[in-house]
Order: sequence, then C-alpha cells, then structure tokens
Amino acid sequence: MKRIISIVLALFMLASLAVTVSAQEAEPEWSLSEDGKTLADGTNEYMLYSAFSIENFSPEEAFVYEEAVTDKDFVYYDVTVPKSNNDIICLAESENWFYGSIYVTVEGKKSLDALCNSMYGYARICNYNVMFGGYGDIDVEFLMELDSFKGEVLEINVRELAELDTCSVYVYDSTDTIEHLHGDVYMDGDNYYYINYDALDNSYFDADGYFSYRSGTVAALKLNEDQVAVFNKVSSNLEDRYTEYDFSGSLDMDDIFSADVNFMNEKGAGVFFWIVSAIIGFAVPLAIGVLGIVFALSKKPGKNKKWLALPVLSLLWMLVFAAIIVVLII
Amino acid sequence: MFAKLLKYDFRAIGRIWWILAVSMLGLSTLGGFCIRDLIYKADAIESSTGDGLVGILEFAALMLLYFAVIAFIIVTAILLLVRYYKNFFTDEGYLTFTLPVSRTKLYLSKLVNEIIWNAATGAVVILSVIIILLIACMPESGEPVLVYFIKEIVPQINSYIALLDISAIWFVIWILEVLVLSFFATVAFSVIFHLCITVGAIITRKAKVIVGLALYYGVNIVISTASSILSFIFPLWIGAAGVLYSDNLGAHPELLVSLGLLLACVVFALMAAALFLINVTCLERKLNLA
Repeated sequence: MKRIISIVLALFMLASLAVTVSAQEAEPEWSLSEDGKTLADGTNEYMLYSAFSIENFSPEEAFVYEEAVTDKDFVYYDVTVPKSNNDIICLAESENWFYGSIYVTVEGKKSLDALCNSMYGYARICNYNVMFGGYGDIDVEFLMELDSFKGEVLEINVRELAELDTCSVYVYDSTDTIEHLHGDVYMDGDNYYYINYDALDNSYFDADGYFSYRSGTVAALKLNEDQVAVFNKVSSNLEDRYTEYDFSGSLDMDDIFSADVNFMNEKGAGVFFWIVSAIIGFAVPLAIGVLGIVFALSKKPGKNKKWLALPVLSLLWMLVFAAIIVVLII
Repeated sequence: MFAKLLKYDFRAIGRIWWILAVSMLGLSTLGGFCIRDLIYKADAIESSTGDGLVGILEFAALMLLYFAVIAFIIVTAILLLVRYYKNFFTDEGYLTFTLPVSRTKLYLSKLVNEIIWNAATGAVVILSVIIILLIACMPESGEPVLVYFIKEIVPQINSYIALLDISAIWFVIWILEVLVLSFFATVAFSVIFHLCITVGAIITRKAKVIVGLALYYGVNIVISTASSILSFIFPLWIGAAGVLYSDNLGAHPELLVSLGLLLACVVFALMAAALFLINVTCLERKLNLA
C-alpha cells in the first residue's frame, strides 16, 4: 500500500514539474471615464476623438482586448490597439462593433489633426473594378497635385457620375491607422475625372455623409495622360488590405500555421519537412519491419513466418512515401 | 473446417441480428412516412389537438428511429465481442481450443465473421437511409420513385462532384481507396478490441471483462494522443511542403491525394496485421484457461 501511494505521489510530482509555467505579460487594466471621453490603460491616457469613427479605423495588424472595459450601463467594450503604435486606439461594443469610437494620446491627436489639415501620411487608391482588386500606394505629392485642380476642370452632372466605375482615393494619418475617403476617380472609358470630396461643402453629401448623386453638378478635374497612366500602373499592382486581428485570451490557431512563424521560412521548412519525412516515412516503418524480421527468425516454436507480413507492408509504406516525395520534388 | 467455423459463428450472430435488421428497416419505413407527413403536410398539424397529437407521435417515432440506428450498431458490436469472449475465454474455450484447427484459423474465423457482420450492419443502415429518402422525397405527381430519383437527385449529386473539378477516373480511384481504407481501419479497430479482451483474459482470471474494458480505454487514450500529435504535425508538414515545393504541390494534386490515401491504407493494413499477429501469439502462447 505504501509503495502504491509513494508511486502515485512521485508521478504527481513529476507531472507538476513537467508542466511549464509560461510567464505572460500582464495585460493592461482598462478603465473608461463616466462621460466616456477618457480611456486609460494604467499607463497612458486616451481622449475621445470625434472627427473619425470606427469605420475609419484601419491599421494592418491589431490586438483586441476583449471585454476589457464596461461603461456605467455595464455594456462591455473591446479595446483594439494597432500593433504598430498605441497612440490611436479604438473602443467598440463587444456585441456590436458598429458602435465604437476612436481614442488618442497627445501624439495620436497631433497625427489626426494633421490629417484633418490635409497633411497626409499615406495615400492609396482602392480599385475593385480590375481583376484581383485591392489597394495600391500613390505618392502624397501626386495627390497634392491632383488636389490643386491644375488642368481641365469640368462641371459634371452628378447623375452621369452615378453610372460610372469609381476608383477611390484614401488618405491616412502618419501612423497609418486612420483611413479617410478623400475623393474618387470616375472612369468613363479613357476619360478619368477626379473629385476631391474634402473640398466640397455639405450640400454635396446626403444625411449619412455619402456623396449624393441625386441632382446638381460638381467640379471635377479631368486627368491628363500622365495622371491616367499613374492610376493605371498602380491599378495593375494592387494588394488586399485588411486588418489582421489577434484576440486576447484565445490561442489563434492561424498563428500556428502562419507563414510568418519563424520555422516556416524556407530553411526552417526544409529542416522540418525532411526530419518529419525521415521519421514518419522511413524510420517508423523500418523499425516495424525489423521487429517483424526478428520475430520471424525467432527460434521459439510455432509458425513464425507469418511475421514476415510486417516487413513486406513496411517496405510498401516506404515505397509509397518515397513516391510522394518524388512527386513533390520532380 | 474454416467454413464450418464461419457457419456456426454466422448462425450464432444471425439468430439475433436478423430481428434487429428487420426492425431497423421497418422503423425506417415508418420514419420515411413520418418525415414526409411532417414536411409536406405541415398544415395537418396546426389547429386541432388531434392533428397536434399526430405530429408529436411522428416526432417521437423519428426520435425512436434515431436511437434505433445507434442501438443497432452498438448491439451488433456487442454481440460480436461477446461471441469472441465466450468462445475463447470462458468454459466454451476449452472445447473451442480442442478443435483440430490452429488458433490462427480460429481467430481468423472470428475476425472474418466480425467483418462480414459489420459490413451487413453498414449495408442495412445505408438501406434504411435510402428507404427514408425515397419515401420522404416521393413525388406527388405519382411517377415511380426511382425515375424521380434519377431525374432530380442524381444531377444534383453530379453537380456537387463537378465542384471538385477532378476527372471521373481520379474520382473512382479515390472512392475505391477510401473503401479499402475503411475496410482496413475497421479491421484494425476490431483487432484492437479483441487484443484488449485477450490481454485482459491473460492478465487476470476473475475480472476479465473489466480489465479488458480498462485496457481498451487506455489504448483509446494512446490512440487519441497519437492522433492529436499527428493532426498537429501533418498540416505543418504540408505547409512546409507548400513552402518548398508549391509548384509541384499544385501541379499534381490528384496524384498526391491518391498516394496519400494509399499510404493511409498501407498504414492501417500494417496496424491490423501487427495487432492480428500479436493477438494470435497471445492466444497461442500466453492463454491459460485452467
């Protein structure tokens, strides 16, 4: 009895020692002021920035602290922090991300104020009218040139514009976090017309803030040949742009299979591939085959030859695996 | 002699199995009409209590059918395992092992018997599903069910197959490989059960069944752990192959899938053969019924 108890205790201790304790970074403790205008994480203080909404929040990668904070009505909110900076963050209702706001530090406010004052960090066009649509970078200086409206300016009926394909022009702040629709390029065959929405007054927009095609005319810059060539060149080399989220408290299985995982670069992939192939494709069946031969040659009484089935099947295993490798390599 | 062993095993199982199979098919027919009534004559269920009661009874019949399918499969498995246990490891075993047949053939007859009855059970379950579908989907137009099935259902099945975007030859090869794989996998898992019972009977004399069950749960944990490890490593291996040989991976996908299925067949065949030989060795050298 004592031996059994001591064995059980020893196994339990071994199991406890074998459990690795991973030290995780302490998560920030988020708190929201009663009026909802200030958000703090224990280190930084963020102010509500009303000029942009959650629809404008567009970093490339972000970490989401799920249900990180509640307001006075006990509504849960997620806090999303871009991985590239923590000056501009987003607070959204956990159950409905349509309801959310942007919060900024002092540095973040400077960046967004600059964006509002036409000092753009980045500019991109978004064209879904071409195969494999997506976003393409354009120079901010090129955009400034368009905005200067130097060239042929036409007054176009907005109803005609409604029928045309568009290529949207977005501007971003210096941290590349907030995206704002700056204007559109309307494409009518070889004629491209640029409209700068930020230069228009409210009468051109509907109640939801979208450009209205109901009636009236709008001033549009007809792009010259060089400017059209720039657009077409960028449109031929577009990339998808979407935010990749990591969520707190859950293992993101995509990370395990992500191409960014260190050992999945070509060298790591090669090492991993050949080691696993050697073990599963050759070492394991070889071991089984050898065991089969040992038992078949055993001097114990009885029909031992039937054990030769194991080396035969093991050989077949190795041959099929080798065929898979050959098909992959050649 | 082998044929005689099979004959008596067949009779022992068939006595009870055919009752279960007929009940299964009967319940399937009833279930088919219940589903048809529930789907196509839903109006009959509303308003009156009598109609509502019919709906409840039909729903209860469907639940009974569902549990009947599960019970059919489980009871068949239990019948086969009990037959194996009683024939080898109880007083009957004394007589069984005096027969002028090698223990390998004795065990092989049990295994073949189990494979055949498992296949028959599977066939009855598939037939039940077909009966349910044919009755539930019976056209109101009155045209023969098989004609309706060929006209309406087969083109839909073909369209799903077309989504795979592979040639008919490869599709047939894959289906055959999957069937062979299912066969070897079934044999392997049957032999695992038998081995647990055999080892349980060898280890102890008093609680053979309990020890056998405990061994089976232990083996199950080992298999689950191995499966988890493999299901973690395998996608990574494919990912690594994708990084290194992405062109070839995309150039011969059908051949690679076929070779993968063939490899799985070989692995399960090897597993079944190894466990079979271990079981036979235990029966020949380790078993002591005294």
